[in-house]
Amino acid sequence: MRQANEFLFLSEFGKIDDGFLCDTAKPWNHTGQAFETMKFVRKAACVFLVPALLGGGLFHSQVKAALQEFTTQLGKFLGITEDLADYTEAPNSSVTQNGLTLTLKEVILDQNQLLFLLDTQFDSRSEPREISLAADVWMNGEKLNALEEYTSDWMGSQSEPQYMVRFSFDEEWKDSQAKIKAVFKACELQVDEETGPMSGAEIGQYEFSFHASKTVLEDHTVSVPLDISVPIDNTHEIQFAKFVKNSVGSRIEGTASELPEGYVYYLEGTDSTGREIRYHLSSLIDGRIVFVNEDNTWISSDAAWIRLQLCRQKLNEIKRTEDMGEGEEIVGEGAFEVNGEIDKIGGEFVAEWQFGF
Amino acid sequence: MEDAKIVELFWERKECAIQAASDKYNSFCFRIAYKILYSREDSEECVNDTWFAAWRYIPPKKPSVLSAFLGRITRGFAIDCLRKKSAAKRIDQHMIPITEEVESLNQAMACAMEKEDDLTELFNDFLRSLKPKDRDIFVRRYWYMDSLKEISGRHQITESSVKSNLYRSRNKLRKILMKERRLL
Repeated sequence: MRQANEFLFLSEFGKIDDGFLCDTAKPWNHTGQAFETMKFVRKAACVFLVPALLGGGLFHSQVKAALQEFTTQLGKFLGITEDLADYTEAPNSSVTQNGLTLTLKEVILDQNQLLFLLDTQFDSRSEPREISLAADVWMNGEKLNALEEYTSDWMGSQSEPQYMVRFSFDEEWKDSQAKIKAVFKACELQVDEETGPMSGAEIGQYEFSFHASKTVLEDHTVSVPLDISVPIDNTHEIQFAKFVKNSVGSRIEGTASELPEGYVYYLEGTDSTGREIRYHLSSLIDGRIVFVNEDNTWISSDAAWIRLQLCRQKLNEIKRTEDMGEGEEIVGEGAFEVNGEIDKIGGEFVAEWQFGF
Repeated sequence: MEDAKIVELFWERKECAIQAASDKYNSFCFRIAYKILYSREDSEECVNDTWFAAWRYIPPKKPSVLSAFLGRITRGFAIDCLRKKSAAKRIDQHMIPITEEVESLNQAMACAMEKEDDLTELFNDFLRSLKPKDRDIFVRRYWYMDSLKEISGRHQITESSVKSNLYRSRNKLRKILMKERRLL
């Protein structure tokens, strides 16, 4: 009888057939109908342009009209249209289809990520129900990578957005204005006890298009420099460098060498309104450390500062046993509980930003 | 250099075989180890151990797909290293989500089969039964240890879609393992 341990499956799964490894080592093939059609459209656009350039005046007006119409169609297909709304008109804009209204509450630029905050509402004739939302976003015609999306009751109040999607882009945003198109596909949400959540029938597709400057979208994220050094022991230290906050959440970034093991590290404190908040260690990679606010804590919208204390709690190993029904037990190895002593490390520090953010 | 040529050098016991393998597959093997260990030093150690292991195994082995052969060795070393770290209570936070995901499969496997070959064949059959996209997602997550973000970017789907996809596939495999257990 094999002993269960946390790496048993991962270890045995390593022996699968070479063919599977070869197939999955290659880039995933995304070609399909849409891609093939786009290639055709690009080629056709070149054909149209050449006669216009070669010109002659004889059919100039007809060619120009055809080219203009074709360009408009081409632009719509590629997600780039000239008559886009400015971003200032986008917040609280709504699209309704089949009894469901999606309202775009806010778009946030945070470093190289775009975050979209939305509300969903069914009209009085439709029964409110859970939905799944999938999103595609293009910036200047280039499709962005989806990072995460979730519906939330973590935002804290009925007036806060219900839904957030996060996308990343690789290249630096160099242009002052970007054309952004976001298409949200809403489907019925079905949950099967055995197979988990699944998307059902489509309700509708909801498009929001606008152009926006980097400055305007960055304005929704506040970044406060910190210069706070917290020694852990004689050889370890965390240097907190930046506090970042927007409508979605907040985080504290800094630098640190490897931390002493056997502990869970976190920050806890209160904001200027007295609301308690806690940050967990999200990552420590290549010396860069990030603490992110826990889902059930957030900073009040009218807070002006936050006071934090670095803490750590010891991990204790536990022995897990399970009766498999025939008097046999499985002992789990390497399992831990966070129930040891809590140490406060260093003193409290404060991050302060402009009141009213 | 072609894989067949590199394997031939191993068979001829020429020391340049290791350099040739390293030149071609060092980055590939390093990436595999790094995704498991998130430590440059430990990953480099695993990769170095891989070349010596290849020297030991070839001959008598004559792998037809050298990348898979070497990658499998590196992955095995990396998981062993992770297991030792875990036993020494040095927690690698980035691996916690993956180990938590496969917890139910660990439990199901503990009683499923006695022979390791049978388990490997069961996994191969299971993967063949999946659709290509589901298979790709499953192997990228649990063999290559890709993050959910990487998989969502690779398939241009959301992370929650990746999570749902993995959940369904894991559930299917768990049922197959439980069925094997009942037949024992």
